[in-house]
Amino acid sequence: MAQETEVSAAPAVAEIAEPVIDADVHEMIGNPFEVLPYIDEPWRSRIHIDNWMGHSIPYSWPTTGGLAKPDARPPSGMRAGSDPEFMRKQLFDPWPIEKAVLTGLLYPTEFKVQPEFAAGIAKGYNDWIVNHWLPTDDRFLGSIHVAAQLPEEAVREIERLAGHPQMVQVLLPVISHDVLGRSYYHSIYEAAHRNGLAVAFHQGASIETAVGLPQYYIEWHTAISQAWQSQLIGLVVHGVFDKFPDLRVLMIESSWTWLPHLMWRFDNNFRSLRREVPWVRRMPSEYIREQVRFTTQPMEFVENPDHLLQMFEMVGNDEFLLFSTDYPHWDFDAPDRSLPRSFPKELKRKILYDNAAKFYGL
Amino acid sequence: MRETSEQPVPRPRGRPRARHVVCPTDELPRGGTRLVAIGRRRILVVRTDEDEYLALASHCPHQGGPLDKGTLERMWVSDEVGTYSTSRKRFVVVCPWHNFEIEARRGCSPIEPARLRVATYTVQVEDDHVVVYA
Repeated sequence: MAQETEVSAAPAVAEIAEPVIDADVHEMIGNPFEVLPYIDEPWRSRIHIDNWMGHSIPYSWPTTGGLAKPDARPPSGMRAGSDPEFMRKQLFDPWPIEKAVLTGLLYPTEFKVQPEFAAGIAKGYNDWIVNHWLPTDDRFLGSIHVAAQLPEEAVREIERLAGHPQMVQVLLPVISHDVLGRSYYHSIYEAAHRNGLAVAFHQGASIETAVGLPQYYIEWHTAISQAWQSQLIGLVVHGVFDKFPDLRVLMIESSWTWLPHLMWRFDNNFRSLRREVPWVRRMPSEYIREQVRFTTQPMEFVENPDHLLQMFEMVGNDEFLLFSTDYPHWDFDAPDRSLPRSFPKELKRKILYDNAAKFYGL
Repeated sequence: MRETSEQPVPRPRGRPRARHVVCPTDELPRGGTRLVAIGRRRILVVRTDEDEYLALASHCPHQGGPLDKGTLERMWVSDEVGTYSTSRKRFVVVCPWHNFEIEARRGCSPIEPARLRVATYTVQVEDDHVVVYA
């Protein structure tokens, strides 16, 4: 059964009534002066038109609205995703979204220089979330941002905010210049685990592919799932799941249809090369199946959706996938239109709500 | 991989076993292996460096690689990332074709024991000779 490519001229109306949990929503900085007061000195003074002005991917977007979908720009003319009230109208009014996990896009872990500055930005950004976003709607859930390159600082930041009732995870970008599973970072996983938080991985601005930065955005955007794959392999190989068997990990916006390949390839290499990493005690796919989850967006739009359905059998369960919109970005997926109509109702319910509720303990 | 994860040794099953004299014990040194052909079966007899005798089918359950051309090792184990030690009691034969490990005592993969396994045989010393029942 082919996915639809034509729709009627009727305006889009939400076709689902059951609740949804959106595992990837980007709050964005619109007016930097709104964030500055939350950043401590000496770092605050270094954010200036003639100084550090942020961290962004090196490509221009060949899209209608740049990084965001153009209709997501708030009436103020500020950046899409920067206005909590407008976001609520666009995201919560049309769809029955019960919870939306804010994932940001400024990830200090990927700063390659001045680690103390990165930690200062993380702390200030978190305080902006706590003060500017989370109080506006209890449907918003938050991510704790850290500078993982300073693990002790990162742990302090986790401890400082873990008690906030809306904070549900620690967010790390899938950097391309280090393996975040290394023992150097284990205290961060320990702190997340101890505080009942998940650890989520999202792409950052510095993410590269197996060929570095290819010339065109489409090359980069198609190939960046390699970074999540490499970080996932690293988490297993460096013993994170052995050390923290109850740790919950989420791969956000990684795409997910590569997962059967990785599990098969990884398991087979483990059969041959286990002796190199004898501290890994179980088959890699077992850790992934039990402790790692993925978000739907960017959802594939395949000719035969039955092929997508078969992937749940290949992965080995129907709990590994959490729905996400990626609002307000240009490749946003609609809750009522992104999953194939032919998916069983029970599976849709799990993807749209149950799997995330279980993962986050909601 | 911890020392404590080893499962019970499976009992030999199937048809009654016949007695086969392999060689004098001094022809199979500690830490060595010897391939024995019994009918169409190829059996790998192992003498560990702790002077324990073990025997298992010499065909890797993966793609049939000749385990007798592989290596006999104490199994590498670890309780901490980046550290290596050898097991006190577990020995593996490493297949030369893809380096899959097969535990010499259990005849199975240490990580997928139910899926990857081969026959094991009783072997013992009788009158200074290695004898396998197969």
